[in-house]
Amino acid sequence: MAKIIVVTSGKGGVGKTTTSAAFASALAMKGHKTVVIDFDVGLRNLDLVMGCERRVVYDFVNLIQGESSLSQTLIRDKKLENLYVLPASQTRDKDALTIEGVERVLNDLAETFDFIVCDSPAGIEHGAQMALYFAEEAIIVTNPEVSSVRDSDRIIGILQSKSRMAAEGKSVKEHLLLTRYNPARVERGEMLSVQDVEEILAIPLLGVIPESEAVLKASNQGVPVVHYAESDAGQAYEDAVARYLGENRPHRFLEKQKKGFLKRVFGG
Amino acid sequence: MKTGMVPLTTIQLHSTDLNALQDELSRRKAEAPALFAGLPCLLSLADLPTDVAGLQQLVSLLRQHGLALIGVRSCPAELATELASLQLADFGQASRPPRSKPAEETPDKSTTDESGCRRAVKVHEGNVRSGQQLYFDGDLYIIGMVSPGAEVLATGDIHVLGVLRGKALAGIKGSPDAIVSCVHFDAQLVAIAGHYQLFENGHALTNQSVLVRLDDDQLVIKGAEK
Ligand SMILES: Nc1ncnc2c1ncn2[C@@H]1O[C@H](COP(=O)(O)OP(=O)(O)OP(=O)(O)O)[C@@H](O)[C@H]1O
Ligand SMILES: [Mg+2]
Repeated sequence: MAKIIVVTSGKGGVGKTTTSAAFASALAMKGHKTVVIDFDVGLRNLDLVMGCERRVVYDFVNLIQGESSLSQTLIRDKKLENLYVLPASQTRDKDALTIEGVERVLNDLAETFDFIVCDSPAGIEHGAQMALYFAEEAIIVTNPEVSSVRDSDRIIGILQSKSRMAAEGKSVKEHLLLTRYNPARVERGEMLSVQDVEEILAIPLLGVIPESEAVLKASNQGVPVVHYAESDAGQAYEDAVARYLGENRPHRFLEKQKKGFLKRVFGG
Repeated sequence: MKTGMVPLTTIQLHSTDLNALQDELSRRKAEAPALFAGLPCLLSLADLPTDVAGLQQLVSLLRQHGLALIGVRSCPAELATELASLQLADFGQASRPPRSKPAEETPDKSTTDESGCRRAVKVHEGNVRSGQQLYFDGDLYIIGMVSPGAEVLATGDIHVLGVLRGKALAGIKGSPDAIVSCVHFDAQLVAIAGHYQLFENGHALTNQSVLVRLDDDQLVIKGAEK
């Protein structure tokens, strides 16, 4: 039975799509058959980050409306054979997603996949609610700034009141993923610290992803950042997924980078 | 703390058959969902043969259905030690409330409203998140935090067993005797009977346990550590 995970945030541009791509890729690298779904109807970003935009023929809305079959619509990742992408439609309206339609597709996918990762659009409206409705677990992507934390708090409230789990009297398992973390700016008091965010949101911390140039480079090349095994962000995502799967790994990249040789010698 | 008699539903089960109970709960919940959610209640164990595991199952089933189970009555001695771990209070053996005649106490504040009725009590277990609003006609107890951008309102008192970072409006139908209290104070706004105060720049008692009441139309905030 597949585990349905939503990657959500409320606020836009915090790193949901980056996270969805990295998370799904790392799950697949670790041997789990995974599909990642773009719920951002109208914008369609995930296929770019996954590097498969040229191979999009049919999309999620076609599938929901019975215009294409699963095998026609799913795009197999070019690097990982047990990873698939379900792209969003660029031309349709957000309202094309319906509870019944989404449920049918998820049920079909659940028959063959271990993990279904849902990349949510920004906001708290219809599209975001469709993406989270069937989730059993949620990765709350948050940047270390007040407005992002506030939106995350709102989306947690929605998970707790408007998801299928909530309707069944259960709760969605929440994971906090702090992204674009810049320890130097935290030290200068320009950004919230990990502790600040944990205290305000009061949900378990899954990982901290540093602000990293590797992310931009990776998305420009259409390669999820976990494939850059030497990069800080790639390693941080890999750690987060290992933790998600039950491994106990210490959090890294929380401190400012080591000072140079001279500073060390002179105690700067 | 102020005392007062509060209406609490007591659940008396006829058997420990979990399936039967599950069906019954689902049926009742479908009939009156609003009544069920967060309903504070007691479970009577009188004439109910059960053991530790059985009690745990009963309690989790009732809580799964949204009931705010806060204690048990007529608890057999051998189970009494288990109550704390289930976050349940022991309400004694008799089928009446533990405080014999609270109505005859002379509290320094009345806990009755204008019509002479005791106020109802709601216990909300869980955090109230930004954008959410919780309203109760009576006294509202929150076991959890109230996030910034969240709003809790009650016609009676509001007590937050956690951090209050959002807005708390007590006595909203004009009860000047209503109280707001919290374990950690960092509120955006507190109001009692329409008299409100904003805390844009924090407050001297931020992060302390405070109690807010209305004195001569002025909000008075008292901390536990001063
Ligand atoms: N850890 C990071 N370091 C540096 N840049 C990052 C990081 N994470 C994301 N970004 C950049 O931030 C921008 C937004 O990221 P992304 O598209 O993943 O966000 P999103 O939450 O999906 O946005 P939207 O709400 O529009 O769907 C992109 O340019 C991305 O490259
Ligand atoms: Mg996105």
